[in-house]
Amino acid sequence: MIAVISTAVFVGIVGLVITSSPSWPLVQQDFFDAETFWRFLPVIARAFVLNIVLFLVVEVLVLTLGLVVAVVRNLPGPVFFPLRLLAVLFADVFRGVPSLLIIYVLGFGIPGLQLPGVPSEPFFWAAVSLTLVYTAYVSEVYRAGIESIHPSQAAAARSLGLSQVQALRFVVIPQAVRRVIPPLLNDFIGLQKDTVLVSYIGVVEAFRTANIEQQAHFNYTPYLALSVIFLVITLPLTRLTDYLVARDRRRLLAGAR
Amino acid sequence: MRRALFSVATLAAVLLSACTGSAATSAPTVGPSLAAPSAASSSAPASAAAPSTAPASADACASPQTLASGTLTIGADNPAYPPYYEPDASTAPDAKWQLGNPLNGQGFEDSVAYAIAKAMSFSQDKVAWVPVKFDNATAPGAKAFDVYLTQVSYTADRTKAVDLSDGYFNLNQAVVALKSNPISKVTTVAGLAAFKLGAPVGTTSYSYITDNIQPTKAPNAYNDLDGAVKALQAKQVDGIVVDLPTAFYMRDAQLTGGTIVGYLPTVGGSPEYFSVLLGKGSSLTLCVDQAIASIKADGTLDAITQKWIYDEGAPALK
Repeated sequence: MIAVISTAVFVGIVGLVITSSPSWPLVQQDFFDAETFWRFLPVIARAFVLNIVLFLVVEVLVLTLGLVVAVVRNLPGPVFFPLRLLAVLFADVFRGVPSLLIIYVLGFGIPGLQLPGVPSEPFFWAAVSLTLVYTAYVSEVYRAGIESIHPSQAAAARSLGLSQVQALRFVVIPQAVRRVIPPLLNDFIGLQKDTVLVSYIGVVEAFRTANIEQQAHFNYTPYLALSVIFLVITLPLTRLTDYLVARDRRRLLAGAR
Repeated sequence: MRRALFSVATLAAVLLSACTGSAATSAPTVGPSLAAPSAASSSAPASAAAPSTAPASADACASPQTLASGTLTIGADNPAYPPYYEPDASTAPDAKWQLGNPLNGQGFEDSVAYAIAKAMSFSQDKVAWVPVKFDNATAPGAKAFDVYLTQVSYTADRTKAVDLSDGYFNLNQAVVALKSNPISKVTTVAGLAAFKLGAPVGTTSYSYITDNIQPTKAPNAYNDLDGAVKALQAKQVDGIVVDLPTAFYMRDAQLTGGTIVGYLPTVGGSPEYFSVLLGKGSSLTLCVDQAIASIKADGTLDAITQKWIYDEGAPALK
């Protein structure tokens, strides 16, 4: 109850300060215009379908490829050194270079080579770029998970007669993945937002649609509409992440306080 | 968990309440209407006036006050680019003029400048040229020229700093493509609809595609001109729509194997246009407007536009 009252008072004060500013009517018209908001919300929401498709395709690829890279990076023995080196290089490069640059280079560069049989669709190359960048991030998350499983687990599995691969598949990875689900979801919220970067190579998705309307009407309200759409999509995921973290914590503590 | 949901609900409520109750936005105001170069201007003097005689309808324009008495000093950017200012065919560029040489009278704006000078009773040998950077020309302050012609688009903002004449060239939209693409054979606006098109955002080009060409494939949009050029080279789009002067620049400077499919008809509203620039409050502004009206009325401007723009590989799309 106290929390409700204090929140209401806080929001009230902030609202009063903002709306009493002399240029508020101008700002309201440029950023919070009701008519513009409701006119463009459906238009932008339709364009947002493209972002969702991109996000879903990339997410599936990233979950699989990220695990592969993480496993390769943890391969034992000197024989696999070149593969390990490759995995390290991959993670370093694609985490270190801004996503936008990778999208530009792959989206305009590779189609520019005019190689036979290679698709030139910007959407395709946007998906490839985001997959590469987020695979690099997610592989590191997986790796942290795998390394957090105590070596005694793998050793115990081996002593029970499981092969190295079996120990990884049935003992280490299931525990590791469960542990890293919250940070994985965190990366996916980032991925959802980064889908707007594909607009830079010509794809007219939700951000570009809002951008075009903003340019045409000199009004920033379409951006507000897009922000609301993003919140509607990302907030449930954010809450789910919080819930999973809390549940994990309860389980770990197993009733102990 | 519940508290978190509450904070979300509050945030949403604030956003929505901020949106309600505001006045409906009015459509952005458009610039003053203009007489297109091809249209006869209502302020034109009697067309009976022969091109060689000055249309001295106002006393001030009979003996105009110029920087150097008896001479009209015309400014242009340096380097001055074709097709606005053509370089000399045989000789090396003048030391003063790096690319196009205004002194030779060849090129679109070069020809317009001499035509305006003639209409103001300055013969060819009474015209002096001075190189002035575009940014300096459009900035407020004293000018080293009487008039300035270098693709200055009319905007209401610029008129706070300088005087801008009536338009002498409308910036029609045009389609740029690679010669190897089948789109380069298209001769009608309707024929463009089957192709994948692109345009930079923040321009009227993109809305021209969606409103007037209405292609069957969703058009692409780019942050800047270079993005559109890259997409054209990567064959991600068949053609890009930009204004005609930009189309010339793309074809001649940015693309290899590029071509202008054609320029598009003006639809509704008033397009951007090029104006002659003069110092703020110049006594010559009225005279230049009269001169432009005169060369529009007698067909001189149409002939110059035909020769230097449309015949230079930019046919009309029907």
